[in-house]
Amino acid sequence: MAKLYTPAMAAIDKKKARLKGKVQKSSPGREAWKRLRRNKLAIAGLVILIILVLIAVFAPFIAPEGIDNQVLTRRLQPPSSEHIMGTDEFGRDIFSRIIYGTQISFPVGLICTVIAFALGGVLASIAAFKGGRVDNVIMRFMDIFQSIPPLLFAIAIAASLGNGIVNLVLAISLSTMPARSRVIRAAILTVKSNDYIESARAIGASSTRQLLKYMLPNAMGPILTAFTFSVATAILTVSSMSYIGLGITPPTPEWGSMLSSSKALLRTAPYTLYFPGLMIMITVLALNLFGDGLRDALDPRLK
Amino acid sequence: MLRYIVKRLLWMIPVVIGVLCIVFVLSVVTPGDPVTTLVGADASAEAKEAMREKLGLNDPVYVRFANYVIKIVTKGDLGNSYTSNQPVKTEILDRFPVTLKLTIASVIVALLLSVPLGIISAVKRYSWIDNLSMALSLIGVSIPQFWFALLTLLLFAVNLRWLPASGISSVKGWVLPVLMIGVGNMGNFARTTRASMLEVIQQDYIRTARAKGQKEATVIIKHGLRNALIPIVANVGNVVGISLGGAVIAENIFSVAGVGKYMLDAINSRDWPAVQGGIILLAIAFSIIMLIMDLLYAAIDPRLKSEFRARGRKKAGRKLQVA
Amino acid sequence: MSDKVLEVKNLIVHYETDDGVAEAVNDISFSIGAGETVGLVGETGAGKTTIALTIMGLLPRPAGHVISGEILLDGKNIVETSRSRFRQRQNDRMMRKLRGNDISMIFQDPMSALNPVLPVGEQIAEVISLHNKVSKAEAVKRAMEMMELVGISAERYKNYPHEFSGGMKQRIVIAIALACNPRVLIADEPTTALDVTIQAQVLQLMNGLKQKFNTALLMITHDLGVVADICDKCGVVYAGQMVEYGTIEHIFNNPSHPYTKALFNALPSLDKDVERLESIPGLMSDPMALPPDCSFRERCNAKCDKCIPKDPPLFELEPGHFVRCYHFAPSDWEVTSGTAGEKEASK
Repeated sequence: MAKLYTPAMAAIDKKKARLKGKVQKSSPGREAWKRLRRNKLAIAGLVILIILVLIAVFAPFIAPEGIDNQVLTRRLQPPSSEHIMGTDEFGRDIFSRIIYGTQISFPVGLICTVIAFALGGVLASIAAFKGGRVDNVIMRFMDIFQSIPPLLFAIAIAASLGNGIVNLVLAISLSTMPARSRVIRAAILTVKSNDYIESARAIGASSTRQLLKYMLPNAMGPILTAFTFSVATAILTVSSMSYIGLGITPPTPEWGSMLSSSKALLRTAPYTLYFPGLMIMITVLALNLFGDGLRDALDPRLK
Repeated sequence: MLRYIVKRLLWMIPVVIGVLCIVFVLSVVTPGDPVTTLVGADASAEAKEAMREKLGLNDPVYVRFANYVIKIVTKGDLGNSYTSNQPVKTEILDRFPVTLKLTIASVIVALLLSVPLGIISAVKRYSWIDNLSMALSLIGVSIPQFWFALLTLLLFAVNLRWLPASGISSVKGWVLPVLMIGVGNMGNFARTTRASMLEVIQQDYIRTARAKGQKEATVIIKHGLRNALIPIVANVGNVVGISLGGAVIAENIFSVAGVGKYMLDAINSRDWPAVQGGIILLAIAFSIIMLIMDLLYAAIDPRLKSEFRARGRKKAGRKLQVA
Repeated sequence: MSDKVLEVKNLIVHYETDDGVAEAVNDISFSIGAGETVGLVGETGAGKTTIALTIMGLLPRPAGHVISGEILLDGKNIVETSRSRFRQRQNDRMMRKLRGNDISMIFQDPMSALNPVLPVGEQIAEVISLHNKVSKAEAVKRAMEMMELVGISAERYKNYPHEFSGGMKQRIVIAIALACNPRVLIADEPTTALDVTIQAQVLQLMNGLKQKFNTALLMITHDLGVVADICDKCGVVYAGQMVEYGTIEHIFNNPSHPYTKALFNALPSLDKDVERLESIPGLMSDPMALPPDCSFRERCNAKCDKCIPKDPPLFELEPGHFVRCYHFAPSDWEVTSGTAGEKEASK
């Protein structure tokens, strides 16, 4: 049977010819970005995060009132055209507090994660590169730290240090640090055992060069993904701890702490419950969507 | 295998000492004076000093630490609660079964509900049921537990009046706390199962099973599932840890008299021995659960089992050489 | 007809993906008799494994589609070219009974072909109890016999795959494949992943068992040495097409297609004194965009003015020896006479 030259084949040929004309520059990062861009959900997550950041930056222009504008004559008003999310038990405009809340939850979660990754990263790098006994000792210490469930550990630290943003950040960073260092160590070890590191060594690359040019970019993938998911977890922890009264305390408009009185108000003013929780969920959802996309883009094998 | 169990049990000693160390350090850096809490702010200086002496607070830090560890290790004495003046150990052990049951029930319910969903998602990839279950799972891992609890409380207890708002004296009372603790895990399990199953389905041994003429359902269950469960079982230990944390919050929202509520009440009344005791006991319980999970893990993955065996042999060989 | 156990006729298989259609198998025909061994040689990506998976009915879904052609097992067609769900499912059900029982396959990589969490004996017994109405004890007994047959002590029935070496695992895979005494055995590069010393043992074992059970064997390989060792007939596959087909003597004594010749030139040889092994310039055409003319033209070193811009048919060089190259077109051949040679080949 003679093969027919179909229009589809012609189209493919044309596309090929077009591709040949272009200089094909492709690095792993660029490839990943290309794949990420094609992932609609991940881009949706990214867009939500950017919007949240913009809201945080322009909060004073968006929010109709301040964060602690107590007007006792308008306590617990349901949503209306004047107060689109209603007012809380102190007569504060919930919408304004939600808007200012973008300045708290996301940044605090981010800072917790940055600190956890920085501390964990240093320990993990030492462990992974020194290997042997050093590795063993560091990882056994991590084991001990990890034998306290993370939220419990954070509660213990926050309880002994007292309330406040700084103490909360410290509590969450310290309690999550062991798990984060484990991720980083695993990423470094995987890359370290790869053949291209062997070949880099074989061509005589110095160890700093090995680290900077070959290992770091390749280990970044899984670390970046883990980082995104960790920010999501940290935001959830921040809000949970603030909810039980061990984190950020009123009048700071942290979304979790805004909910701390809503259990008592379930019957009388259930609308105080909806929006702060929804905001936490949207933020975390956006991070998870972006993290999923990042993981798929960096590791196209899985999908 | 026995060697491994013994080794893991011995390893718990440094873990416990480490935990004691951490908890002790936390109690040292705690601002505020426990004596004031105990005898009242307006008590006389002599009374305060007497209490201080009685608690051993005037000793140097290392002596206090040594006394603290010795007391716990030899007598299992975690001290008395400042508020009730009862031994912390008995107070916590009374409440511990509830917390443990709540945690384990939620992990089991989460597994039972979400693992099948993950399998169906993987097998019927990109179908509407896959899309739906993955959307739900994503919400599950993104929703704040306590907010989920409040929403379900509003819906099922306040509006519909189907379920009680607090307490777990009836079976119905268990539903909301168990769901709340498990909501994140469910999302997590479903997502992990799907990803793991998708990877397993592409393996050569699945093709071998199909080449035998095996039914697709049997291929998935017999050859796929057990392999796909390995990463999930490997992670169940950690999930139990996360759930213990969730139980602390759940007990407070649903007024369940467990260790979590006890601890948070203790935190609010600055009752440090109670807080410390709670953390120590939960950490030990968590370590034991991790050990059990690791053994279970070894049981379903034969590669690990023989690795333990091989490791034991290698060690024995090395000893012979030294001799 | 009767002596042909497996017959593949004008098989065309495509993979349809988001990026386009890959024409993996383009008009392949061959047949195998009982006790006969046919080799398919070609480089990676030529479509050999796709042919094997099509015969097994295990094309990856949803991408793989049999566009046209027939595969006859004992004269009965076993491929479904219809896309109707119902027909597909019906075919699936039929294939499930055949797989492992009448047609078996040995996969390339023994390291990953066995389920890591099941004892190997159980994996052999599984296929036995699947296709025979036997008690569990009987299945175990027969699985043990199979183990002994492939040279593994039956005592190792309860061992797990990771406790075996690569060659041993491949023996287990062979035991699984032959446990139900199939009519056709497809071996997809069964020795590629093994050490050279083990390769010979495994080949010998397969050859011995094939003769014992009078199985028709389809040997897929890129190793001409393997073909020379155990094949009766051989087809050279390039870009999803059979470019040369004939008996082992035809191919080895009189390699005619430029690609076949190039393959032989790329082999190290003891009796020829060459400075450097020849390599074939260029890469195989992308199955997503096959050229409309001879797919080997771009790499061919024997291009001539006979090469018209149309896909060449198979020409019969000598009885039973077919070549897909215009070089061998008989003088009276005209473009319009089309695929005369092809029909011959499928007989």
